[in-house]
Amino acid sequence: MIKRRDFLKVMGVSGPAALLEACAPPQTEQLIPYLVSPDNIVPGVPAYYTTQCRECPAGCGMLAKTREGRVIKAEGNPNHPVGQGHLCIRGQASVQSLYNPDRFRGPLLRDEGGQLRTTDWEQAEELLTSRLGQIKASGSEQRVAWMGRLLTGSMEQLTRQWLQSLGSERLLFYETFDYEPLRRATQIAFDRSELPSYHLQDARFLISFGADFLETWRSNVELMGDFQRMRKARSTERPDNFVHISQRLSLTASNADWWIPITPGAEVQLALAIIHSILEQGLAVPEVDSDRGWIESLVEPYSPEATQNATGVEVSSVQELARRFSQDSPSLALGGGVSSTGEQAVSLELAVLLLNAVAGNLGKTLTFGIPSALDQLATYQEVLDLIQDMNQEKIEVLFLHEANPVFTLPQSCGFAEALEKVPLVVSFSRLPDETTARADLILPDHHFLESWGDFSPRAGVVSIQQPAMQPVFDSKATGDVLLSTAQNIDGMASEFEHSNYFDWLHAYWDSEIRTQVAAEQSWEEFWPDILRQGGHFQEVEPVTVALRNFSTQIRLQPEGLEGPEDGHALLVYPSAAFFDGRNANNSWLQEIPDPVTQLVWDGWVEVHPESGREMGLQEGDVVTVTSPYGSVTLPVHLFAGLKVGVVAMSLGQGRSGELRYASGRGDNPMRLLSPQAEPESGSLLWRSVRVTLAKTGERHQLVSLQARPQDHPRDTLIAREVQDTPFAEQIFPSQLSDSASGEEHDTASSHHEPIDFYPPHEHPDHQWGMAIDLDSCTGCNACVAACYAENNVPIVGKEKCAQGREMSWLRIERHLHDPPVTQESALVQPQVTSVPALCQHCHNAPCEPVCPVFATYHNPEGLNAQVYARCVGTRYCSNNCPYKVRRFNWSASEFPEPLELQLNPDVTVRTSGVMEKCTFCVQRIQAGKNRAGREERQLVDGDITPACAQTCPAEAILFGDLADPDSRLSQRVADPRGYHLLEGLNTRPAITYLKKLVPEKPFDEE
Amino acid sequence: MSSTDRPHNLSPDPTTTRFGRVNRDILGTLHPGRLYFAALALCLLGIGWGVWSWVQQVNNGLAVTGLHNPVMWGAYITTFVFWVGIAHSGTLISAVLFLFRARWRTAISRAAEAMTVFAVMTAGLFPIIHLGRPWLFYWLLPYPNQRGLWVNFRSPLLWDVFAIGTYFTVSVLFFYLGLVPDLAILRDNSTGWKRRIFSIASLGWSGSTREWKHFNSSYLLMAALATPLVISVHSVVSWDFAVAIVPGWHSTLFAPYFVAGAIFSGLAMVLTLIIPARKILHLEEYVTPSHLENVAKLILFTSLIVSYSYVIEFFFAWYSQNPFEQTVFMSRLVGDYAPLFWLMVVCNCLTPMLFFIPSARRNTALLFVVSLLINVGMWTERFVIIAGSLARQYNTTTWGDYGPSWVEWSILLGSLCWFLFWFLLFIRHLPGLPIAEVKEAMIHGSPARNSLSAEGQP
Amino acid sequence: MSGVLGIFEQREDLLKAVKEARTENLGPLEAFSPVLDEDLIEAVSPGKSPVRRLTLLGGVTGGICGLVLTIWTTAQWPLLITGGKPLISIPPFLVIAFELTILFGALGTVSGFLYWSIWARHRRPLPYDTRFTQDHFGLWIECPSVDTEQVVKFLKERGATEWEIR
Repeated sequence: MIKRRDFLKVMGVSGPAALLEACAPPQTEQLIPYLVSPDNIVPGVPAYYTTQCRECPAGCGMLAKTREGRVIKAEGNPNHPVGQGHLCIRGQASVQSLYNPDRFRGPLLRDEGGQLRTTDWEQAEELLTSRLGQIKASGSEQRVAWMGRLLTGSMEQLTRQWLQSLGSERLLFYETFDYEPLRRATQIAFDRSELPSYHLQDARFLISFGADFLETWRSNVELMGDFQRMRKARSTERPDNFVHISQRLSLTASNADWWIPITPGAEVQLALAIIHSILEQGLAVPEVDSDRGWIESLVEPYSPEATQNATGVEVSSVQELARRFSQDSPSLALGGGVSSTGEQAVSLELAVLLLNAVAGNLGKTLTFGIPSALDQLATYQEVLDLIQDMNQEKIEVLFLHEANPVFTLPQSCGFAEALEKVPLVVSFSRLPDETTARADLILPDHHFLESWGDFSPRAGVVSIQQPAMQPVFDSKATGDVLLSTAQNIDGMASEFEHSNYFDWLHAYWDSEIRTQVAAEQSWEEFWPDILRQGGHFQEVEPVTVALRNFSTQIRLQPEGLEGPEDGHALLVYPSAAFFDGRNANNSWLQEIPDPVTQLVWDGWVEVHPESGREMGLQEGDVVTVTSPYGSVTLPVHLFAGLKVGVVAMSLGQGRSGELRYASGRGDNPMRLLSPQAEPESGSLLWRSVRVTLAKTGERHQLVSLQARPQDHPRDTLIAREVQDTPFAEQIFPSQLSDSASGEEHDTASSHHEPIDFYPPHEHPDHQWGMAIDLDSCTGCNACVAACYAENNVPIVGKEKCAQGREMSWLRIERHLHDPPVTQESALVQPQVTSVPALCQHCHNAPCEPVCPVFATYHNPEGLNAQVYARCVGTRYCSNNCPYKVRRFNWSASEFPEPLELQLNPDVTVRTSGVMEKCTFCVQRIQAGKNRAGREERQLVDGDITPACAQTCPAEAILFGDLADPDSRLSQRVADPRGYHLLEGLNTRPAITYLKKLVPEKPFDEE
Repeated sequence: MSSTDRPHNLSPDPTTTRFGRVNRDILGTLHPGRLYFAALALCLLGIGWGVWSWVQQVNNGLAVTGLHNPVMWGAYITTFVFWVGIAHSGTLISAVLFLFRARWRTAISRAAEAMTVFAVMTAGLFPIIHLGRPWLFYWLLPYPNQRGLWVNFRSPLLWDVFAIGTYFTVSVLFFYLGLVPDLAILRDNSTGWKRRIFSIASLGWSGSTREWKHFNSSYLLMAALATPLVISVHSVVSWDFAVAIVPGWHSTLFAPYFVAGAIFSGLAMVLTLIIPARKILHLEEYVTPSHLENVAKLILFTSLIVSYSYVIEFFFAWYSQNPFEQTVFMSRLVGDYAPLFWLMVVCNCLTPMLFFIPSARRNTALLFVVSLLINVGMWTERFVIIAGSLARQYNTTTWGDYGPSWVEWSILLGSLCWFLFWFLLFIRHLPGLPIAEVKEAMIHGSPARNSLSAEGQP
Repeated sequence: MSGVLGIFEQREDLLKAVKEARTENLGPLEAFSPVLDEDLIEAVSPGKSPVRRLTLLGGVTGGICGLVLTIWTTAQWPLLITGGKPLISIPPFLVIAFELTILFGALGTVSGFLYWSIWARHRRPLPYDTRFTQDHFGLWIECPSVDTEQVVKFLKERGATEWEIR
């Protein structure tokens, strides 16, 4: 169902126009007037193009907002089943990777001297065609190999066909994070080699064995939405329905009601123990009766009692887990995740699948028959084979597409060395990276916002990728490169009827998709509709699967770790912002704090404070982390959210080369990992080594944007003491215990009449307000990135962050009440509350009366307006703001070329010496009014959505009109969980926070 | 036609000769030596350095200062309050003590009044220096403009504009009014262009009874106006903080607390200036230890009020049971700001206690040292109140500490030189003591005796 | 106009002379003194100085101006609500009014001084001796030239060291 205004957004779009429209020059210095204006560009009016996010394989639908022919903002496509109108932090920041100042300006060629020289496309392709021509002529097989990001649809077809005509089958879809153990497990358990689809929204109880589905695991935006629907459904009496089992308090874990910090390798035993307990309590569903025999014998040795030592989880807890998992049916257990991929990876997935089977979740919350694109990924084992062939000089030409294996593969597997053996290494990378440093020919690809394409993240969802603007640099779509080279190689041209990729794509959609899904429609009917919708979406019926006896195939001997016995198990996890490092050169992602640690602009190794004490390590000590395979040097970050005996590093930092934002920060954990593949699934053994830490004696300042009481505020570590500080009482009447008991509620709720010295002032037309549900907010930072993008918020860099001069209008305050691991039981409450802090637009704003020049005042619609031009910079307003959400321009902001193209023309770029802050996206409010005006109607609820609310994957932020009693907002602020920050000050904020629901009783207490 | 056939009466006349000596002594101070010009040059150097630093700040933005979230006000506002405070004692001595008929004030009133004027001139610089866009400072003035916008009179900063503006004007007028008879003296003692300047400046004062009559009444009225003004001005300055909701600022105590502190610091500054001056200018006979002792007594008195305010602040924080207030004050007692806090306690509360000992009050060297300590202590007090409170506000996750950067220190130094520069010019060109008043004191009896009289205390 | 200016070295002599001149009403007097001398003022021109009237006038004007300025300018742009306070929020405005009261009061006082003592003297110049600002006193007695001699005699007897006839 497409909303009217969404329809209008994309109304003006049609394919050729999309190509034609890009008349606006990327260089701002040349001003070219529209002599003949393209029909779909009205200066001052944004055009939205449906496309889709390719920052990661999840493939969320995207709307690219363009102004005067340049993309200024990325938003989710509401029609798209993946993401459903929301984007994660990486999707929001994709516009900065489009305008990344370090992108290749054009093709590069390595000369005799081994230096990369700029060249032109003709030369570059000429060289390519000549080499490929020889291979083609020689007729030798498998001499060409392709290693690139996941492709489906037309581009996959093209690449495959292209390679085939060069006599090669070697098409490796390489993504750093694969799901092979899960795929292998489904193969074993259900004889289906595909990833299952999950339906979190239907689950009533969720156990995750290390799957960080809110950050990077599979399709995080989609899963976060489903997760929130699941959470909304839960009862306030028993709010705890999510248990996370891992070694590290990841973002996902910190959103769990209960977190089990478990010894690496004990997960399988715990899973089996739960199954054991389910069977023991006779709670297993009848469906599994037939398999009961082998299941019982399988789990027999894993009674809760027997496993207690290994897992550390009390018998009672296991039994309660078993009870709730089977009784709150349908429930769901998720397994996997990078940091739990050890030797037992497949066994864990098997155990988890079995757990789901026993609880009767098959076909309810866990279904098959909807294959994911991820099924097409090459296994790490295949990569190893490729490396072997490269070493044996069987590969003459290697193509690397959107892949940086030198960085993302374990250094010990020798990919970099093997590259030397390949005569011609061609990279399509847009940015200089560790692999292009070794490539002979660099043919920079378009950014996905500049090029045509299509992608099908899963069966039933085929999204179209439209170019939203003219290429910023002299790059060329890889599809076009393939086709134009094909044209120039004898005997190849005939096999490709199209000379450019756009035609190819058309042909593909016409033949492959239209005929499949809308044969009755003509192309002219079909195509514009696809472009409007952003692709073709349909429900796919799942198939039923039968459990097979895999008791012989499950590997039950505990996993071993290489490295010294006294060492710490190394945990490598994907960075929530940088994914596998591809986004590391994105200044927003560097400056927006890591959601868990609140650190910025750095890489670090996380060490538990206890271990730190034993090793005499302080925060910021630089240590050498050594594994049997290598060593890295990193500053220590003491982090209580870890299982003792584990040290954790995120993948993503430690990039080399000339990346102005990424280079020289932290180090790459892939230097430490073992080259072995997991024997069963051929996946990479992420959890395979122990490491030792040795002080170098140096110190390194880690910068957190969140101050911590007691210590020096700009010091690191999350504000865990917040509970004993005054702010806590004000910000956390948020525990359920309060809202349940009435009298405390009075102090916290926003509904009692405040006493004012002055008569109240009215808001006749509108009173804009916001509700933020702390129970939904996961602290993923997507809103922060959206705010940076929408409001031209400048970045300031690490040094100024350290001085407390960050400019973020919206920040996520992460309050960790007390160190989780100090608790008695194995099930601990993370007690993390993420509080999005932005201008509260107070009804009685303390900042307003103190401004001598009326630079800030209360506008008739309840906005706390800030007039930059009027501000002289007394900074009194900021002193008087109890929420500290005002930002002062200490110096002039910089937007290195071509980043300035991303600036939102509707928002002033503030000069040095003025105060700024959240405006509730006043430009969007104005745009909404204008639209309503043009359509000659009243504003209706939902017409206006600020950037933060628009992108929030958890839909925790709701914006609306408090003056309208029927608005969704007015209803939501009436929620008994509602309260205001620092209510005692009677500032009467326009933002109502809804309290977080947290369990009051220990888990296994009835 | 004039008749001079009658010889002068040559018998030595007490009045005449004493008056004559007063003229000689005081006018003699207007011819200082090499040391003076060295000092003057130093001051100019310091001003230059300060101006250069400020240019740096204007070019590069306030990033060159130590300010950041959440401490938006720091050394500049501290120094602003400091100098405004200094100014106050001048008015107190010249106006309030005048109303109290404390004749001993004569010895120091002129210097104190000059100090007031120069201190306000210095203080006035800082609100502008601290602006994010200093070139727009005039937007704080209420004048009809093309922006079609007036100023926000609800803002304490506007109250400042009016209070400081009024205070400066009134101080200058008061200073000048008191100066007119002495300017006439200078006129009649000088020749050439100087005489011309002075005759204009002295408005042709002739000392006729009618002039004196209106002069007397005007001076009295000005004193009567200056007295409530001086109290209002520092109250207004204190409201910059008191009307904000910052814990540690938001207190009804602030007005009296700040006024007392201002006079306290001002008196200290008077000593700091007078003690060296009387040595160098050989005015020991006119500015006697007894004068200094009276100032010391006043310092002791105001110090007690200030100390009392310190205690009461903590009492409020404790008694209110307001956790935020308590957090701030704990951070002063034992937190990051404890060293500064205790320094200020030592300087402002403990050392003045020495003045309970009579001999200490008459020991010039000691007086000088203590006065310096109090200057330091009072600057620190303002710093602790301003930066210390801002650094520890409601939301613990936004706490942040502050220390001035070299730019701020340089500008502070520059402002000190600016102040001294003007004071040096003053003692070079204008009588440091009100000659007419000294003579007036004589016809009522010797200055020494009056200064000993106990009517020193307000 | 004509008269005699006598120069005294002794304040006491002068005071005596003034008093007796009054009793013998030798005509309009003006005395000169290097210091503010209340007794002398009392003797020569008794009564209160009118300056205080201007002070009062100035003060009242200032107060009114303060209120008018604040209220009128705020009313110029009635949209500007700040901090939930009403447009005309009197308490803060009183501060401005107070300061202006003082300012205008002071200006009134000074202009009073300029008018009555400075301007008045310029309108009616009298003979002057620079020693008056130093250490000598003077007494000017205005009289018809006929009995100048008598006045001179009078002054001589009262201890005037010099005299000057105009």
